[in-house]
Amino acid sequence: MKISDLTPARLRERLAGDGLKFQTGPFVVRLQTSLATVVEGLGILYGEFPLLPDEEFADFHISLRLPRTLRRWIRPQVIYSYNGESPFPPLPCTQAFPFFETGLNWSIYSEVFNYLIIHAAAVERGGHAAILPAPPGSGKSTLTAGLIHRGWRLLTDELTLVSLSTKRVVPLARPISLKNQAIDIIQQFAPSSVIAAKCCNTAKGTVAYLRPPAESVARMLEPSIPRWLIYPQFSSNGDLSFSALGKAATFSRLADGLVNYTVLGSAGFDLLTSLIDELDCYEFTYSDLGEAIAWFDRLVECD
Amino acid sequence: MDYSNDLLIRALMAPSQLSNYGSLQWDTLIRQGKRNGLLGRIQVLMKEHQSFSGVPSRVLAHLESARIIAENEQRVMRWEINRICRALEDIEAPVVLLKGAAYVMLELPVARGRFSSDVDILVPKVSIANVEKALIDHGWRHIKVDDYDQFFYRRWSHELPPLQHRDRGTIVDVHHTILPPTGRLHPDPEKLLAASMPLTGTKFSVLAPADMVLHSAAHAFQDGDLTRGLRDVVDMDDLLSHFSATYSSFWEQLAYRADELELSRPLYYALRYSKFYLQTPVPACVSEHSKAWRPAWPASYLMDAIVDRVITAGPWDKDLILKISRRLLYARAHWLRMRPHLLIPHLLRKALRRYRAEGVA
Amino acid sequence: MISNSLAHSEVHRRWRTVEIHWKEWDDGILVYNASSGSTHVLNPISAKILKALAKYPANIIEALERITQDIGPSDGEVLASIEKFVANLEELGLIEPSSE
Repeated sequence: MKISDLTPARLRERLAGDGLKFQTGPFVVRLQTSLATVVEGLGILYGEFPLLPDEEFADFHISLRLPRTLRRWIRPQVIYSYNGESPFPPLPCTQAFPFFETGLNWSIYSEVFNYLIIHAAAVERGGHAAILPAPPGSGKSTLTAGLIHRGWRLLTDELTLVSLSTKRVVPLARPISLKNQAIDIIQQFAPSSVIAAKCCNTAKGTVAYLRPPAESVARMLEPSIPRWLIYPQFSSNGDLSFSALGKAATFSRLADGLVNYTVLGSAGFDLLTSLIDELDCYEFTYSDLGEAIAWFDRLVECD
Repeated sequence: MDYSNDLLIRALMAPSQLSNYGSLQWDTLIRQGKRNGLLGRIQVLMKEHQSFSGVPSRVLAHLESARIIAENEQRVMRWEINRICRALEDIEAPVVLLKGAAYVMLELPVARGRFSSDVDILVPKVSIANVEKALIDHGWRHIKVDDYDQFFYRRWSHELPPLQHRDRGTIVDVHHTILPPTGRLHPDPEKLLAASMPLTGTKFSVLAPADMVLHSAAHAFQDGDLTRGLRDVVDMDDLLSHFSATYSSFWEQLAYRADELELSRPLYYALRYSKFYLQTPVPACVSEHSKAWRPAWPASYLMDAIVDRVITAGPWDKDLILKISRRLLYARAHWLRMRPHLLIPHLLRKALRRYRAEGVA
Repeated sequence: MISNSLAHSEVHRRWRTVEIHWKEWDDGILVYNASSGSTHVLNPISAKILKALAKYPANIIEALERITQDIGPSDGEVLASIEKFVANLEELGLIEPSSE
C-alpha cells in the first residue's frame, strides 16, 4: 500500500491521529501533524512511498504541531518535535513542510551511525553511483534534478548513506529541494516534473520540492556501487570544464562534508580510504544543464 | 500504550527476554533508551546475554549505532585524559579522576555502554590556580566568560567554571571539593584525597571505592535534579554490585565513610532507590541501618513520591504531577546548593540576564 | 652537520608511535590515530620520521639516520627542522615518549 492509496480526507485524519508510518530507504518514519501544508506536501511529494502498518517499528517519530502559547494564533509558528523533544526553535507556520524535510535530515544524521553519511547527492546509472558532494550554492540539487529526468535514478539529494559493511550507497529517494532560480530552471527543463510545497522568505530564500520519479521510489531498497565522486560547480558564464582530483586531495576536501566520520573511529577511516580508492574523482564546472548531463552520460559510456 | 519507563526498567532487569519483544515494544523501548541515555547499556546487556536473535534488523541498526556512539565516547574520554595528563605533567599535586573518567580508566562494569565524555577532576584547593594555568597553556578556554559567572564559580562553587578545549571542544571540570561549599553538607576534600588510590601507569588517582559510591550518591541526590534519574540509579546499582562483590568489607566501609563525610542522607536515597527499582543486593542490615539517615516525615514521603514520578515517567509524559515533581527537584537542588541569602540574589541575577537576552532578541 | 638545537638534552629522549592506520596515495599520505580518533595529512618528511619510529622506538639522531638513507645527504635546513617535526608529531599525539 502507498500513501497515494489514501483519500485526502483519510490522509488528514490518520496524520492528525496516531500518525502515519511510511518507508524511505532503510528507515520507517512515523509522522504526526494537523498542519494543512504538511499534509498536502506529503500527499503530493510522497505519494509513491510505501505505507506501513501501525504495528511496525518506526525509526523516527516526528511531529509538526502548533505551539501551546499565543503563537498558535498570532503570527502562528510551527514546532518540530522528534522523539518527544524539540531540538529547534519554532519557525513560521508557512515553513512547516521545509521544516519537516530539514528536521528529518537532522534526525537521520544525529542518530544513524551504522552508515557513513556524506552531505551529498547521489544518482545511479548502469549499476553505478555518482556521489555529488557540494556546499550550498554549487547547484548540486539543480544538477541532480536534471539528471533524474534524463535517465539517472535518484538515490538521494542531501544525505548519502554508505554501508560500512558493503560500501554501497543506500538510497532514500526523498524529494529534492530546489531554491530560488533552480525552481524555474527545472520547471523549464522538465515540464512534466511536479514541484510543490513552495515557501518564500525562508532562511535560504524561496524553497520548493521536486517529486522523486516513481521508478526511483520503487527501487528505494536497491543499493548501488559507488563509481564516481564529482564536485559540481555551476558558473553562469564559461565553458564546461573538469579536472581529475588526487585521492588525498579528495579526502581532505571531503572532510568538510562528512557528517558522522569522527564517531565511526578506525572503521570510518578504513571505509572512506578504501571507498576513495575505488572512485574516480573530479571537479566539474558547467553553465548549461544539458551539456552537464551529457558529460555524466559519457562517464557511464566510458566505464 | 504503556509509555512509562517500566518497559526500560524491565529490559535492564531481564535482558535475555529481549529476543522475545515484538515490534511495538521495540518501538517504545528504543525511544525510551535514547531519551534516558541508556541505549548503549541495553546493547551491551544484549551482547552479554546473546539475545540478538530474532530481533528485527532495523532495531539491530539502532543498537549498533548506540554501540558505535558509546565506543566513541570512551575513546574521546581516554584521549582527553591522555591530553590532561600531558598538560598537568609538571603539577606535583594529586589529581583525582572523578565519575565517568574513573569508571573508564578502571574498566568498571558501570562504564559499559555509557554515553559521557566530559572529564571531572579533583585537585587540592591550593593547586587550583596552577592547574587552571597549565590547562589554559595547553589550549583549554573558559566558556563562561560573563564576569558574574566567573565570580559565582570561584566564590561559591566546588569547581572552576568549565574549561573547553579550543580544538577538540571537549570539557574538563576542575573540582576542589565534591559539593558546593555554600551547601548544607561538607564532605572534607582532604579526607577524599588522603584515601584516594593511584592509577597505575598514570599520574592520576581515583577515589576509594566507598568514596566513589558516595560521590555518585551526592552528585545525584544532593547536587542534582535527577533529570537523568534512571541513569543515575543504574550507575549506583552497578557500583554497589561490583564493589560489594569485590571487597568483603565494602558495606561496613561505606557506612563508616558516609558518616565521616557527612553523606549519609544522599546515601540513604541512593541505596533505597537502587534497591527498589533495580533490586540491588543491599544486605538487610545495611538497609535497616540506613533508616537512621532517612529524613523526617513528610519529607521522606514526598521525596519517594516525586522521585518515583520522575524516574518512571516515560519520555513523552507531560502530566501536571510530573511537571511539579521536576520543578520541586530542581528547586530542591538549588536550595541544597545555596543558603537563601545567596540563592535569592543569584536567581534574580539569572532571571535578569535571561530577560535582557530575550529583550535583545 | 647537526645543528646546535639538537645538542639539547631532549635529543636523547626516545619516541615511539601510537596505534596508527596508514593510507598512502600518490598525492598525499594519511594517518589515522586510533587513540585520538583524528586523521592527519602528513608532509613527506613527517611521514618518513613517523615510519622510522614505527619500526622501533628511537631518539631524534637515530630517526635521522634512518631517514637520511631516503632523503640523501643531510640538508642543513632539514636537519634543523627534524626537531620541529618531532615536536609536531608529539603534539598531535602520533608519537609518545618511550622508556625502551
